[in-house]
Amino acid sequence: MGKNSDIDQITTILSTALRHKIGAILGMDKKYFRKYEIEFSARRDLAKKILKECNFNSYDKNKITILLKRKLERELERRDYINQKKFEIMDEEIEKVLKELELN
Amino acid sequence: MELKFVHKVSKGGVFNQIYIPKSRQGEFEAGDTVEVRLIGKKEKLFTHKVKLTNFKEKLIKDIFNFLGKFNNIEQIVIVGSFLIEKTIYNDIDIILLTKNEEDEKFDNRIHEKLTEEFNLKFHVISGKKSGLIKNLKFSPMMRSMFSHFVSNKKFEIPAERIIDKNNILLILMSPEDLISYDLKYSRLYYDSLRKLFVTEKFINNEEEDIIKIYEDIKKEIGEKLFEEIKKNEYISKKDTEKIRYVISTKLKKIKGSLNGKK
Repeated sequence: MGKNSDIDQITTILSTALRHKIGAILGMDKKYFRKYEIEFSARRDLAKKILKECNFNSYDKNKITILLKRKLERELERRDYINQKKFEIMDEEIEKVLKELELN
Repeated sequence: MELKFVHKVSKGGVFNQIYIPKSRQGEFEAGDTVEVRLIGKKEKLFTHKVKLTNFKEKLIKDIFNFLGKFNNIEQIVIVGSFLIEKTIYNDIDIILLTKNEEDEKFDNRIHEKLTEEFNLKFHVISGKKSGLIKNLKFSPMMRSMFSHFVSNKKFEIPAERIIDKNNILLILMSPEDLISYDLKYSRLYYDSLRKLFVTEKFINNEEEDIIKIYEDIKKEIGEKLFEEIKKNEYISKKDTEKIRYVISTKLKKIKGSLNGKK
């Protein structure tokens, strides 16, 4: 697969992962979901696996940040049942996951 | 020299009683005056739909006793697979009801202390009782978690269920995702099926008994496949489709019921 396709796949997976994480953080069951964060971790691990085969430079990483933000914003906008604070914590959560995956 | 002995109060036909040990009968004679002082309260377990083995009962009593040292813990509740599985349980889930709202650091500190003391795997969640009771009214997943429990004090699950549409839609988000995208991570199907079956019971105002729910899921997908997804094992495309069919049917049903509610 080409670089652009990898970037597209990784950002799609991560935006879904973060949508789940943000939903859990802001949900009523946040204490319960602290344990059952599987929706986030399964997707993050899948992104990690794909990343092993990639070699991104700083330009690519910047592109991933922009694209991930755009996709996550869209994901969250479409789900009005997630608390509106979602847009306030979005950037922080993006930063955390990108740092974890050494994509920042 | 002070004459004393420690003995347990026993149940009598009319009154509870304390027997003088045979070896001390010469020292404590009929007509003597003694003072009775309570030095240890009997450990009582409050169970809800749980039958404990001697080993588990002893371990739970030891855990309650150990946690009793922490002043801010008002009540302890044990839930989860440790109570319902014979041998294959992930960890011991402990809910601590505290005087004040505590943060994650508190949970981690207790977790550390418990692990040090018992060398077992624990999961600790703390919260104020009032918050938990509120959660149990709104949250199907919390209700299923509390469908079987053991506590050191009396604890009642509120009968009232409040359907919060946004909360239900949030729960349905995971199963919905699995309809269109296969992550090849079968445990996600297990979790989603559990969420759907529990939510359906909640909406229908039925008991969210997790053991019965597991049985219902097994009836739908078969015991073998149920065990496979529980262990996050590889499942075939045919089996994935089978689960997806169950998920989409349930989703449709739940959303239909949800739209019928105000």
